Amino acid sequence: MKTSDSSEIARWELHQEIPSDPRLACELIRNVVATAEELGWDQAAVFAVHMALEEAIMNSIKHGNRRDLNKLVKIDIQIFLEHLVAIISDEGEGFDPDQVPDPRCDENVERCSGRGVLLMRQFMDEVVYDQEGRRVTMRKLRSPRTNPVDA
Amino acid sequence: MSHKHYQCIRTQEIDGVTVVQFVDDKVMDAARIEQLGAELNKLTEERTPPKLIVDFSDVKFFSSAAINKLIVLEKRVKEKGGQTRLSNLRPEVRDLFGFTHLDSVFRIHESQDDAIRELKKNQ
Repeated sequence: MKTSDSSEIARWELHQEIPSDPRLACELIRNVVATAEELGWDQAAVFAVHMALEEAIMNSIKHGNRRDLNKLVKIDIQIFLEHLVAIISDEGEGFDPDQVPDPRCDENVERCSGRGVLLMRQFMDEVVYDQEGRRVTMRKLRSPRTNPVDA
Repeated sequence: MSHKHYQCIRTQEIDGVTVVQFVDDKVMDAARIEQLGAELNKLTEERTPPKLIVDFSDVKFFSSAAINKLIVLEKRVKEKGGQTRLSNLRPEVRDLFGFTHLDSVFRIHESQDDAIRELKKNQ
C-alpha cells in the first residue's frame, strides 16, 4: 500500500509501543480521535478511524499478544492533509485474515466475536495485512467514500 | 421512572415500554462495557416479558464489544418472550449494524416514537 507521497509532510503523527493493556489502548485512541476532530475531519471519517483503530489494536492485544503485558503493540499513525495511515503490529503468532469466518453468514451473525477484520475493511479505504498477519496497514481518505467496498 | 442504581444507562417507562439510553456518548471503555452488559442483563429481570427500546440518541461511537452486549440482551429478551427495538441511530452507527448484517437481528427504527408505536402494535 502506498502510504503517502514522499514529499508529503504529516500534519500530525504518533509512534508508540504499548503493553497489551486495553486501558492504554483506549487512552491512545481517544487522543487520535480528538486530534482528527481538531484537524477538521468530519463525523463519519472520525467514526471510521475510531472503529478501525479500536478493532485493530484490540485484535493485537487479545488475539495477537493474548493479553500478555510483556508483549507490545506497536502503533504508527500519520495524519496527512487528505488521508490518515495507521500501522498496527503485535508480537503474536500471526493469523490468516482470509481464513476468518464471515461474521455476516446466518450461522455467525449472532456470535459475540469475529467482526473486527470485517469492520476494519468496511470502514477504511485500504486494509493490508503482512508479516503473516502480525501487522496491518490501514488508510482512510478524508473525503467520504460514495461506494463502500464489500469485504 | 428513572433507575438510579444504573451507572451506564438511564431508563424510562413509556406506555409499558422500557426506554434505555446510554450515559456515555462514546461506548468504548472495556470496564464500562462489562458494567453495561451487567446492567442490561438486570433490565431483563425487571419486567416479564421485557419490552425494550434501546435509544441511541447522542451516541457518537459504539464499539463492537458493546454490540456483543446488545446481542446477549436480544437473546435474553427473546428467551423471555419479549422484544427489543433500537432507535435514533446516527448514520455511522446504523452502518455498523448494516455492514455486519446485524440489522437482520435487530429491528431498527428512525425514532423512539416509531419504536414505541411498533411495540404497542404487537402487544
